[in-house]
Amino acid sequence: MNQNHRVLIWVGAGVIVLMLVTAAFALGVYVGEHGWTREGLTLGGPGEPDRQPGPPGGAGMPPGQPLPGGQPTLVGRIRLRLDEGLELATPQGPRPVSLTSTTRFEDAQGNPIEPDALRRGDIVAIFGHFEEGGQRTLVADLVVRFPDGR
Amino acid sequence: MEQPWRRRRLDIGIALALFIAALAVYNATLTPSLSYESPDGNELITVAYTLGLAHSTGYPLYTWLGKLFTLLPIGDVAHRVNLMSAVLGAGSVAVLYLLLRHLTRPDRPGEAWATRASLLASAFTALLVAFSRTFWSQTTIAEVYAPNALMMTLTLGLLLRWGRKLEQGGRSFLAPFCFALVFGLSLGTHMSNLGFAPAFALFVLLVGGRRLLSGRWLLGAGSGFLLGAAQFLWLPYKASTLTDRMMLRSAPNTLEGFYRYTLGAFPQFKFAFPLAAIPDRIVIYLDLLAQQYSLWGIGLGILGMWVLLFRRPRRFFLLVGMYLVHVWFFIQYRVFDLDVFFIPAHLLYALFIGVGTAWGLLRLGRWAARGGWRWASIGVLVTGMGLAVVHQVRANWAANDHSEDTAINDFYAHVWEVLPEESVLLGRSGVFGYDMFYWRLVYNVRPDVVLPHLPTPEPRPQALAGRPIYTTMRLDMPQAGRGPWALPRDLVPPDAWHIPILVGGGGAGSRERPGQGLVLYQVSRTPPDLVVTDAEPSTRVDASLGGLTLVGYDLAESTVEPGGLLHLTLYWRVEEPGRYLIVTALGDRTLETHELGFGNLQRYVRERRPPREGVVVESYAIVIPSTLERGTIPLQVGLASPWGAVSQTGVVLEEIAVR
Repeated sequence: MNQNHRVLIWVGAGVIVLMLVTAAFALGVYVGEHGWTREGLTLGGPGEPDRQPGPPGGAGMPPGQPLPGGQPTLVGRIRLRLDEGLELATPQGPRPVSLTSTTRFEDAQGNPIEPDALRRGDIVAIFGHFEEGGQRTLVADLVVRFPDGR
Repeated sequence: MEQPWRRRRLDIGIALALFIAALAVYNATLTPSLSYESPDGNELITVAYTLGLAHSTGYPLYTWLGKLFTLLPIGDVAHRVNLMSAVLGAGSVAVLYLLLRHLTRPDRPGEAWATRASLLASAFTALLVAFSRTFWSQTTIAEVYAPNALMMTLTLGLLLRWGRKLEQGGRSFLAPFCFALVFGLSLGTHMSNLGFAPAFALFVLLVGGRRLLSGRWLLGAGSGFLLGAAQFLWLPYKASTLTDRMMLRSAPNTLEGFYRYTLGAFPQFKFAFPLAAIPDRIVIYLDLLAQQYSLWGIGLGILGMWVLLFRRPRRFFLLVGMYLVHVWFFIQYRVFDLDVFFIPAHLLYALFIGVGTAWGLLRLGRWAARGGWRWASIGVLVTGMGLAVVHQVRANWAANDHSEDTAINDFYAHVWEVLPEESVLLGRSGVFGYDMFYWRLVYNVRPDVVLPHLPTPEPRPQALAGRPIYTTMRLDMPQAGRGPWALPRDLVPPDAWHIPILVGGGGAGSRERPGQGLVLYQVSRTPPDLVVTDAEPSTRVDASLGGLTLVGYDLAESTVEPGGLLHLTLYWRVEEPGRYLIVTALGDRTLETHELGFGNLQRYVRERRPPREGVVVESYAIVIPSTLERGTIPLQVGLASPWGAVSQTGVVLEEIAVR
């Protein structure tokens, strides 16, 4: 084994050790927060809000505006808040959601809430659309927070 | 001793067998035609056929390869481009095997067991990759990732070949030329391959040293790369064909536009997370990696890194360099479907797994030989590895089987039939509109129907004047004003009603992209008769389903063909205000889901003030999936939670004969 070979192995060993230490540190941070579970990454099952009657609508009809698209585009637990939006832990894994100035925020009864009222751990339903041009951004039109943060 | 010619023949035979095995599985799970499984797939198919320009970063090589596949006499055009993913994905599995053989080849050629360990580990790892969750998912749809896997593995193979020639003191012009040509071409299947360049340069420097100053090599590599990258001249050449508003903003017909369309594309996705979020991003990546190869696979990969470092340190730096740059870039990438972007990193990690497995097999074989029961241990090992591959196939089959995803084709087959002559059909624009554009651009279906998005991305009201208007998306929802659904606000009267005519299934990808719900609405100034007082359904049910009572229904037919229509009218009484989702199903197969009144109810109540005891009437035709098995199947109607949970309550209407 020549000198060059030896240097390469030492440097390479340093790289592997650094990778392992970084991965261990990241896992340690995660386990410290969520334990040995996948809770921080996925949502075990979609949250189910209590079915409560909303404010009375005319002729016994549902209140509020229609749900865009009927079903939510995404349901998940807020795992990260960023300047531009949220990242949710969903049954399919972490998914980013962009918020805009026109995004509406409601509770499950259709009452408006402040965006700041959304916290990490809240379960929300997103009604939104994907951005144009092959871009893979889900832009929220409506964010509905489930009751009691579930 | 292993003869070179014999070894080569054996390797090619095994690579071919792996190609056939992978292709057989991919073909069995292939999407038959159009699909929402990928956001860009329908656009990529159409662009390949028309030889147009795809969204950023243009994907010229993909477009040209796709065009070749559209010439095959199999299925429809969409099916042929889907098949390209299967064929090229299977090709990358075969090349991966050859790469693994190169990396695990025994140092001492005389040891037969070392050769067997290399063969076994390489084949096993290639199959593990072939049927891993994310890689497999991209081989069954029209997308760039499977073709890109082939280009990436080919590039790596050619670089290793050049490296071997350099180590042997060769001065070939052809080896650097071929490597750089394929590398340049690979940018046409994914621009992120450019991130591998520093690792490639480091490897060549480590192997070639001062000899690299030879003008011959520089000329070979430089001219090869330029020739491969010259494919991007396709972008300014085809820039005039763009109709996508977002892409037009950075049309590649100027130098700045060219940069923004290629290297400068998607700036908002890159390095989108603060430093404090990096540990979390690493965990997301590790979770995705574990989903491909499980924890033991990750362990074998770490072992493989050490083995490679000691046995072939230059190749170690090449692979680890490529791997780290790729992972570092994409853990900070903010996109909805992050998992597919890690496919190259997963392939690179598989190389480490292969090296680790070969080393483990070699040690085990030597140890077993001392005990005199080597062949018994081989039997156990081969069985165990075979079972691991079978487990991989079984575990990922359901998630990747799109062979029954015919929702778009079934829906549009009826759309083109029911649209009146000289009518207008509106829908999504840009990349997402190709579920509709495909039919016109590829098959010129119903040329009398105006698709205002096609000639121009900004359709004008004059194009619609006097024609009956239909749309596949509601134009009065918030999302209609922006994003892919955006249409000029004055295109249709703002007080128009959207009356559902035809309702299809959502397609396989709709789980995460429900914006793609398949409904054909008639745009009308006259409201539908949504709430009536004198409802007289032909069959009474009076079943309470939570806050709604199903009063009864009319069903026009009790026999239907796969791919046919069921004309259904449902009569509902609202007992308790709330948000209700109606689900119809044939047996255990959901046909469609919609909000009560198809989004018209609130406005109807507000403007028409119907009596409180009125009955809500929904009348529409449901598209029956063409893949539905024949037989007698119960038609069910139920309620689902608007929050995405499964159906809560339901009632069987009657048995339907599917013939």
